[in-house]
Amino acid sequence: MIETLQWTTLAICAAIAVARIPSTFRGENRSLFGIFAMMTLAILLSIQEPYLVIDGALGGLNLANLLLRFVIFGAIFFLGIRISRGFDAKEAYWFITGRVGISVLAVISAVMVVLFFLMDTDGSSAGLTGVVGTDPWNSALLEYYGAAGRAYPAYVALTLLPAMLRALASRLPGLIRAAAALLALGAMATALTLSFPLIPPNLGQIEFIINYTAVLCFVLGLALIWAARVVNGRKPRARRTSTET
Amino acid sequence: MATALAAGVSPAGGLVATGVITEEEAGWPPGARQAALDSLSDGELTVLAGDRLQALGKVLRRQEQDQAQTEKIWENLG
Repeated sequence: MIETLQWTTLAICAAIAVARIPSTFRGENRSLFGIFAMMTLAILLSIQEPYLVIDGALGGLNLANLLLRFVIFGAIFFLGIRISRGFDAKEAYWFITGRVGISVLAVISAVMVVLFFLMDTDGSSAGLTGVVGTDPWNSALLEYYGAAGRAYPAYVALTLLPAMLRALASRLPGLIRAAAALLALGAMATALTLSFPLIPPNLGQIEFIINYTAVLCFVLGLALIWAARVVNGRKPRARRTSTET
Repeated sequence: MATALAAGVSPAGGLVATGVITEEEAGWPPGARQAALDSLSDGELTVLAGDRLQALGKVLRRQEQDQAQTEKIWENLG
């Protein structure tokens, strides 16, 4: 079931990235293509088979996992910028690109890199499952490394959440509000990843479901906004007069 | 009709008030429009008209703001 979820998400994300290529060439929101491409790469790196191929090329030391974390950071950073600007969320924009936001990103990244190189990461495995063995020092490092990797996306998601809920309660067009609902759900799922250490290991599947819910909600939310624009563009855009209300 | 909606009365009321349809057609008693106008002083009528216009203005302004917000979302995320 997890495999199906992973490959489906990958297919959806890749399809949207490809569908955006023409508008990217027209110069419409190029960074959105980048966001979808990065998300596609991130999903690819979370699936065992492609992970093994890529990590093998990088020396089999699970460097691909570190790469995955930074791809996610990049995607969520640009996603945060786009969403906060689009929805006019000035405080979220500041919390992401302001001094605080950049410091948070720098500190978390530094901690993550240090923890990664302190770990003994021999033997490729997606999600680093089974890599650390039973060594308590190594598994503690992995726990903190994982937490650092989840912390930044959760931080950005929490800064965006209020603006999404505001948009949901507004009188904006239905498709936009539906998109805001999906983005809010994605943000909540991302924030929920902070609670992973509390989930007992035998319920590990829940972690997968939360992760992929987050990705799917973000991707579909963005696609919905795009769809709303395309739908609107087809209609003749006459200026509305007061008698049309 | 937009004014009638903004004022919270039926759209037909707007048509009668502007003389597009007659009072009989809308099922009003004959002369009801004139009687209603006569029962109000000029001052009251002007204040009433002002209130209705202000209400309509608010509705239109909100629509314009929502439209601007939607455009901004599309500009950044579309």
